[in-house]
Amino acid sequence: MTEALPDKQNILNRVHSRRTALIKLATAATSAAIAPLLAADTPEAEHHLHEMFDQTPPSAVAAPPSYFSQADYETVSKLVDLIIPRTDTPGAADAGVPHWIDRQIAAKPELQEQFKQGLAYLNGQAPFTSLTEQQQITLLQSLSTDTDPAKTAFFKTVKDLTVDTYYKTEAGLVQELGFHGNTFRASFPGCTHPEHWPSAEASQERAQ
Amino acid sequence: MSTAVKTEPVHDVVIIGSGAAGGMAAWNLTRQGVSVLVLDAGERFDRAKFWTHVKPWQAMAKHERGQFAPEFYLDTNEQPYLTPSDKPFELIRVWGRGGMTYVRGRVSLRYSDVDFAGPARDGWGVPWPIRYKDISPYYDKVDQFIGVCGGLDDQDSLPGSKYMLPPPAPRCGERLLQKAAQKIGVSIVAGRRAVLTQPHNGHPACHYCGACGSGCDVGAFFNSSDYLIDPALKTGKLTIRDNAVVARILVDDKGLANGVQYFDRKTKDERKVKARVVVVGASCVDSTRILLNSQSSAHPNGIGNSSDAIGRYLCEQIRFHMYGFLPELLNGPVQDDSGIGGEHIYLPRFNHRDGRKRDYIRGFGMQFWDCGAQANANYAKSLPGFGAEFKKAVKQRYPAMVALHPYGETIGRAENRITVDANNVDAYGVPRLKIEYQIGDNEHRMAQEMYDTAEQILHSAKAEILPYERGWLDKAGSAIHEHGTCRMGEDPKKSPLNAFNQMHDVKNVFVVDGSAFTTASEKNPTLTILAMAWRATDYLAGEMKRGNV
Repeated sequence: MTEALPDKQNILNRVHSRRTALIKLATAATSAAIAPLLAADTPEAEHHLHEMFDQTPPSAVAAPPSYFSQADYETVSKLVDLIIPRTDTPGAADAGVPHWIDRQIAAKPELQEQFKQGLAYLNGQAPFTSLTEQQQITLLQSLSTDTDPAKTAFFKTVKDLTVDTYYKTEAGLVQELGFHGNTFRASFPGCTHPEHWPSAEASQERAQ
Repeated sequence: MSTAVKTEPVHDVVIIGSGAAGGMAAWNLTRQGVSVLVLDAGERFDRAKFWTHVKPWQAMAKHERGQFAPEFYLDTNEQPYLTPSDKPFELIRVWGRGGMTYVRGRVSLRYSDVDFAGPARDGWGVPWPIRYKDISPYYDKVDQFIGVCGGLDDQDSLPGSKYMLPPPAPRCGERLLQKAAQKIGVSIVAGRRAVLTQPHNGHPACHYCGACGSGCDVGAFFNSSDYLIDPALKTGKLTIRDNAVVARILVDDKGLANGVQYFDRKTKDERKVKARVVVVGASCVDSTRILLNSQSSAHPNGIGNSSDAIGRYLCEQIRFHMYGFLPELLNGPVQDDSGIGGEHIYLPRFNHRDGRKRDYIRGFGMQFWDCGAQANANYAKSLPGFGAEFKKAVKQRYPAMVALHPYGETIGRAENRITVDANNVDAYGVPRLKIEYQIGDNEHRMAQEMYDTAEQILHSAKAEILPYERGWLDKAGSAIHEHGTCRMGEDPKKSPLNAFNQMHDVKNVFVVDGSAFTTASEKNPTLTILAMAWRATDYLAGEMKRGNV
């Protein structure tokens, strides 16, 4: 099921032993000056190694929908873009969210009826995509505050799916939010702002 | 089957399970020259296949191509359990080498005499047969062996350790919570975690990727497979049998254990092995299932169960989750808050200190995982509206989130119990386990003060608090800290185990996992399981040398 990565652990082990050997070498030569460089350099190498193995081909976000009709897919695309629009960073449709929602609804029969009814409601007067953006926003606002719990539940489902998916994409998580974790680091600096610290710790730091 | 019994050697010790409990027992016995067979219900997890560094968007693309991360957790459909419809219990199990230790939270807190003396003080339940002084030398040994990072603090409710690895620096939000708690007289200390902040005993240091929950790709936090089972295998004294789903402990006509019956998970074939001693460490719930199913004329209601306490007094822990956003961090720079995976801070139990009488007994602590920038923005689902303003609101809060997770002790009650149902058998024809469990009044009353405390800290921090429903508690079972169903105690009429985890009724059966705990406390159990299993198997090795078992 998962990709065969037969050599990953071997290579990682080699990197670890190389790192240990280099640090030992540095220590033995008492060249304290180069030890930090090595320590900083090798995790970087490890990081790249990981990246190399974690290469994932981009998914077929441009592929035709597998569950929605083309018209419904366009409505969903508009909906998710109203929830998270394009600003100075990509919006939900730019990020491929409609594609992922299509795949999720295909795999979740329990949500299909909700989408069917919800989309029918949005297209009730006129096709949703033919409305002006202001009309679409007004309709979505009334959907989100409707007294009919089925309507608010549909809005909540669309919003939750949009949020879940958008902030998992590289566009949402990295470009929009600025996430840069889950990587190799030689050390973890933590909070470097004494003004955030409890008093004893801050004064201890100042005394040092 | 009968031929298998004839050809099998008699093992010195058969250990059921290879997690923290079984792994420690195997390591400590084999290094003392005892020959051991470990029966594990699963297989070794392949570390090279962990998705430790697979980013969320990569995971989506992989899923679409039919690729999935290695599955650690047992599929309930494979081994269903029964619960009454009005008492749901979420049972989460790992069947595989190392058990839960690959994916546990790694929080490593010592029990104190505030915990051990709890029942003696308030009269609820049976007294622990041990005190801190009995187990502290083993905590010292465990800390040194597995590597636990933490601070220098030493409190009555959270004893310190001389053997801590350096604690990781707290994140901004964690520092601000410490500061906010200090203002209201509550002490939040450095967290204690079995994560290697420097290389330790041949294991590499943490590289601060924060994805421990996917399994560590370099083994930089304690897991039983790498840290205990592998060294035990090197002694040449350990045999481990995979996919061995244990059904029963077998007994001789005197009622002493003489073997174990198990089923091969792949072929469903029945097997039996012979043993001088059986050590049970299959995790609280599965160990209890095995003990209760081990019925014989000597033990009609399960092996070693003359007290009728096995299966009863099941304790989990209550908990809930509150989230806030700190004004100092709103719109601020986004840091890499991955760190060592969980929180770098901990709030030890304090409710016993002010002398004020509560309307509940026992206490609670607090954990803080998910402070700072995460690999998701799940909080956004609780923010109102949609559109550009909504998108901006999500981004502003992203670096500023703090998360509070109080954990409270659940007291053991006889009606909170595990039984086996002879009319409802599993794929091997073995009675399934049934869990009847409900959070009680004491816990609901304690939860009020847990909510008060979380609110006070967040108010002191001037946080914007994400909407929550006061009084809500997480599903029973969700802490994955089951305890108490085969408890230790001096009185054989009330407790199945003595002070060394040995059955009062059956001196060659030892139970060394969370089921042996007399009370559950508010603390994560793994460190104490390791210390207790080490202590119990030291005693067992001595008794074997003396010819007593």
